[in-house]
Amino acid sequence: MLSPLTHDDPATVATYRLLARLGSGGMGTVYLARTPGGRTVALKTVHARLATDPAFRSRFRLETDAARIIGARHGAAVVDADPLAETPWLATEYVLGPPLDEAVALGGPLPEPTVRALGAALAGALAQLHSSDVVHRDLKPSNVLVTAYGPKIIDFGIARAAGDDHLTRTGAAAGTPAFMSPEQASGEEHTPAGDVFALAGVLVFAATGHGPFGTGSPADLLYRVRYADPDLTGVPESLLPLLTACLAKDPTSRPTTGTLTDHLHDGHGDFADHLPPLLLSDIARRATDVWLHTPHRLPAPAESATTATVPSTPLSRRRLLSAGGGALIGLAGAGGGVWAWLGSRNTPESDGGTPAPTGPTAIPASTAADGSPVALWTGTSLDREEATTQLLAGDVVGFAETVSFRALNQKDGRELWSDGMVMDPRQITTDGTSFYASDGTYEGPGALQIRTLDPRTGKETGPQIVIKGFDGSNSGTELLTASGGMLFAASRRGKKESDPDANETGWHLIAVNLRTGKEAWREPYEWDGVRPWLSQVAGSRLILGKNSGDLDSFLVQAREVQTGRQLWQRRLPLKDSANFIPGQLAIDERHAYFGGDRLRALRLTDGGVAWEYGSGSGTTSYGVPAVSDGIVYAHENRDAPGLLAVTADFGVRRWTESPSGRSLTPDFFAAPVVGEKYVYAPVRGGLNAIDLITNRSAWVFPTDARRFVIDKERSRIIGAGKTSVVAIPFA
Amino acid sequence: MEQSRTREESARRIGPYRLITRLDPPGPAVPFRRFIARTSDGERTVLLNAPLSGADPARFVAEADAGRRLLGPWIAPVTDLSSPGETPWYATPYLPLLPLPVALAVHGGPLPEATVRAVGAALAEALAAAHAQGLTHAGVSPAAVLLTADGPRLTCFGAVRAAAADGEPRTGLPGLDPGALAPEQASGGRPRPPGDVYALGSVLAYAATGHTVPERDELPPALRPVVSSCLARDPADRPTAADVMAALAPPTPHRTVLNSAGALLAPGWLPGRVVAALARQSSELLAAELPTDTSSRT
Repeated sequence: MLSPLTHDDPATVATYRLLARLGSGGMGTVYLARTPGGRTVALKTVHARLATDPAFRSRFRLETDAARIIGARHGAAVVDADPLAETPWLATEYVLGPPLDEAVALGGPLPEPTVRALGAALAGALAQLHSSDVVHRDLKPSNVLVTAYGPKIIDFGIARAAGDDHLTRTGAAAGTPAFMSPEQASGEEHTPAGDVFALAGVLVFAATGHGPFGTGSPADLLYRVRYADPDLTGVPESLLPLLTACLAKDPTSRPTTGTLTDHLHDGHGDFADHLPPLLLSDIARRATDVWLHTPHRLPAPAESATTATVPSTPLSRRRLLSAGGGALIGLAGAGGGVWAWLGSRNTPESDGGTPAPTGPTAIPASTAADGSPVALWTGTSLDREEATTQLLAGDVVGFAETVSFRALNQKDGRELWSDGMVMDPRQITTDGTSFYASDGTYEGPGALQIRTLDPRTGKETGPQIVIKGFDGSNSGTELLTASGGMLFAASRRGKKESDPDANETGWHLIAVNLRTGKEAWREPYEWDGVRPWLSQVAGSRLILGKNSGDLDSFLVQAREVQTGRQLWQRRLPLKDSANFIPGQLAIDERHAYFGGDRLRALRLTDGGVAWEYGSGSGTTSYGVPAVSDGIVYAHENRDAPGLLAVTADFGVRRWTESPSGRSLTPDFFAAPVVGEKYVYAPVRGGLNAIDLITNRSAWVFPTDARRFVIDKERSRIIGAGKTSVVAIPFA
Repeated sequence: MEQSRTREESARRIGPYRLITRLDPPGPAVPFRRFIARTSDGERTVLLNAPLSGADPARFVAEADAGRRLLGPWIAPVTDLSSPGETPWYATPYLPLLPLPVALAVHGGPLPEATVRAVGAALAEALAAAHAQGLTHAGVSPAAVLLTADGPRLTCFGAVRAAAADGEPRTGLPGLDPGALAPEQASGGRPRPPGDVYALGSVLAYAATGHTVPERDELPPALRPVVSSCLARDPADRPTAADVMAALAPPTPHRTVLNSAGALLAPGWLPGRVVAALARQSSELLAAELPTDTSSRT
């Protein structure tokens, strides 16, 4: 909720001192800020690049006006605003309550009395707004903050004066398909009755945890909003008639806000009387935490001069395919990163500048204050998706980035070669000796084609391997791993289809004998919306892991390397499993280790749980683990989050990271790497070196890298981030 | 509001702090004047304690200083204290908090049994720790108990000792809640741990019924034995603070030695309206702005 300021956040905006970040998105950043008199506010600022657009300034001004109209009771009280400043800003009260979507995620669907009290209050708020001739147009769970005194409606980013259409025509405004009204979805006038429709959708969500038209791609949602009956499964029976009426396709047959207020709630009791305990305790925590916050600013990453460089390349189709529409929505809970990413997609050129030439940068010997080492070399990268871990072959490290594959000399970071045919990170893998890359256009050649590349030159070192009968498109193929003369891939049988659903069938795991170039075996497997993306050979077993289609669990399976026969399969609960960076499986001779609600060890022999660490109570969780020398390391999310070390054999706690006085935010989705003197744990904004003897943070190397590997000589750690790559000494 | 505004109150300043609001509604049974206050730079917000007018400033300061030895999750820590010669005061960091009597008022009556139990266990734990340290709190009363989102905070350390020296009768002294004053302390006896237990019993009785000296059958049946035993007239008949803690928070397999009262503070331990009042207080203080020009407001 409250995150530290980043190194490039200003110290002040107007007379406000910035204390923390509350959120960030495509439009701007919201800060917790303080006046000289000690008043604490939420300060919304607009990106300077957007502020130069007069239409956007108008919208911002309208939002400010709408926030003033709705007032402090039903909205966030406006303290002050300057829509004309170079960086326009809006200061409002800091509202103490979670957005409705977070509230439902926290404690599940809300009980009927809560839904009724919420609905009546929201209808009252809309009535007030409508009486001032303003319609909201984007009412959705994330725009409703639930406080102890009632809901507050925020984010009038696309609110507009009724009848005033010019802002819509600029294309700047768009609602949220899942809660849009049918008339809005058809591009027609969204009147107050449209807000009633959206309100009913919000209440269905509150009562059931799903919107009335489900999830999916925007196009599907728009279609269902316009033509499909709402899905009211799980809505309390007594609410059905009213909500059904609100969700009528014809705006004129929907009830008014006044009718809604009357029928939802008789007005007895305080709003807080109707709130469930978990929601109350979340509100109480927010009311308290804001007083416990100590302002903190993150250090600049090593490559701050180059972070302004953002690739102006289209996103890989594949990322979108593999995650799916619903999956992206699910990811939003993981933090601001997703929003920043979506924002930059909308304006790919917006962060300015041309991509810098990728290559090594000589680092002047610097004196880091906390004793962190000087980088051996650094370079830039263009890797918005961070879809794979870097590949090591001989003394070459390969980075599969957004649109190309680059091979760098591990010693000095010099680029040896790059390959533009590898458009997708999943098209390339290694066995530690050579790189293997699959070729295929978007349409697909109708065959799985694999080139073997010399790591130092990028030249083909053998005949191309061709396995017929697979679609071979870059979205229909994935090279998983290679080991012991075998290469493992996933691909689908048949030709690339224009219907996306058809491309989800016919998937197989394939093993290729690298000496003969012939297929060794193939085994069908269930698509489930996502392909396998973690793979590692352990002895005679191929261990595969993938997140499930619903993203709430993680499937692990073991197959016989020689035959492809499935030995076992196991499903583990693992929230946000899609956020884990592929390529990181923690495996030793006996077990495979996984984070999640508990830290778990699965036996490689039969997939049984060898041990579990943690209560699984929901108050703790565990990050992606690493294993070395009989110890498993993972970030533990507890009162004071930090690294945890447990024994690999029985899961017995050895130590937990001692407080160092630094305020660090662990990265739960990136694996630590284990050195001899330190264990290196990825944290927000850097790599935290925890001394293995004192179990305390010795230093933090500032970098945007999140994926770290140790080179073959064990002399350096090579890190990869969205915009930079770096090598630091291994110790 | 108050009839007798002291000089520093009308100047709205005490020590380095500028006063924002009083913590307690007007009433006789609060041993100190308590304010929410802020440093002039707007940075730190604190709960500020100052002696009642007419109280002995030296004893107030001595108790505040001794109170710094008292630590633990259910204690409001003394982090800042007046310098010698200055008008006495001490400060603890601000958190949203409600004095127990205010919590009953916003809830609209006695608190639910689960709340009473959780508060009681936490206070008993804090007292047991103090007693083990050789400290007698001598200030436990309904007004000394502040409810926060994550549990109670015990304040007003040494209020009984500060009110009058040992040997002098303490009945009817301003700021002392007669219902929370153990009989042996009222008659001038030196405060000892059984007196804290008596006061704890009166606090629990107050939380569960709305008054410190309840009729026996007013108390919820499950709390009756423990509260009644705390309120025994003879100090020797009272349980220890550790006994009270064990009675209120029966051991469970999950309990660790430390922080056992925390197990009772699960979501839902505070009634909705008390949470709402905490959130409102937090919100109002976030919005509170000190005038930047001091001369214009005095």
